[in-house]
Amino acid sequence: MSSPQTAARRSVLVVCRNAPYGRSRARDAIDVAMAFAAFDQPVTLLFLGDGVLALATGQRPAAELSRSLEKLLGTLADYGVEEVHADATALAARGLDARDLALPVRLAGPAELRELFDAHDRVLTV
Amino acid sequence: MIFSLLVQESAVGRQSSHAAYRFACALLARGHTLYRVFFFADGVHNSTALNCAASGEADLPALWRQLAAEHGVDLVSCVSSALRRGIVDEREAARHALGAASLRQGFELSGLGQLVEASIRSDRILDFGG
Amino acid sequence: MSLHILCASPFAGSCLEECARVIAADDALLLSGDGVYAALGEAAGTLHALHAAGVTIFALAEDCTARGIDTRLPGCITTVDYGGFVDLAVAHPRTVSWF
Repeated sequence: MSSPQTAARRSVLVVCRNAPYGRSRARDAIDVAMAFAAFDQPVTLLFLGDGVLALATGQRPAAELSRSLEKLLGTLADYGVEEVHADATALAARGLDARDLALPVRLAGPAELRELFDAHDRVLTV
Repeated sequence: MIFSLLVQESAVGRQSSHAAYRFACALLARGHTLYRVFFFADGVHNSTALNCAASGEADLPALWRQLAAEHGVDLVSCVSSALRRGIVDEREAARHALGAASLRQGFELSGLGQLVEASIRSDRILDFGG
Repeated sequence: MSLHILCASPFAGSCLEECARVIAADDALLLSGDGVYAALGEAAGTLHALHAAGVTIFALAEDCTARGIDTRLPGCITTVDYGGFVDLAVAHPRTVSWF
């Protein structure tokens, strides 16, 4: 099987709408975003709805159950995922603000969310 | 037009991979090309060789295999999703000293790079989950 | 232009609400799987508002029929088969799945 054509680039918005640990979908979304970045595709990771809970700081999962998503989030930039956005409305509804988050993210209100979707060739919900 | 599909749920107990299969058949009937179906997370269960479909229920692993054979579609299961879920080919079964292989013929295990490539090569990529 | 595909019941989670915050006036919305339940009750109110704002709304006919709601669809919804689903995907450069 051939490797991805790095000459072609299609921008991808990877959307995470699930809270961490109850299901592995937040972890999966981060893996997908990292894969696109690894192959030099422009990628943005968006945490929407319950997905914003994956960004909360202070996560201490039991070692045998799961690796820490907070630690993984800390490596996003190292793996080339530099654009990380969070749904501002969802954060507010869950009583969180930027100080509660494990990493700096761009907060997106409704207009910014619409622009984010429009700005990408592909949207993958994980 | 060239399509690829991302399938994220098992064929058992959920409708989404059945919808993906129906969509695949419809796009082929319309004369479009299906380049790759990438199975991720629980979607890798679509690639098992060891299922027994109940009478009257669609055997989706078999249907995917048949579709791929008839239309030259690339069926790829994400290797890290698959290993965790006991979907292993002969090579991984030997490497991890497991009792048997379980990947259905016609499917291949590979990394998320194949999803990236499908996204690059395809005009449309549709996402089936939930 | 995007095709938004609602695949989960709007009464079971927030996918319709989140989709509605993001969908644009020239986008299309396809209800599929349990997403067809958006044709009912309060969720239908959201669909009417989206339709009034310019969103074209479709539903997979066989999913409506399977769930016994094919006779209860509001007028703002056009039913399609899987061939029609394919045509919608061809017509819209971007698809967004909500589940």
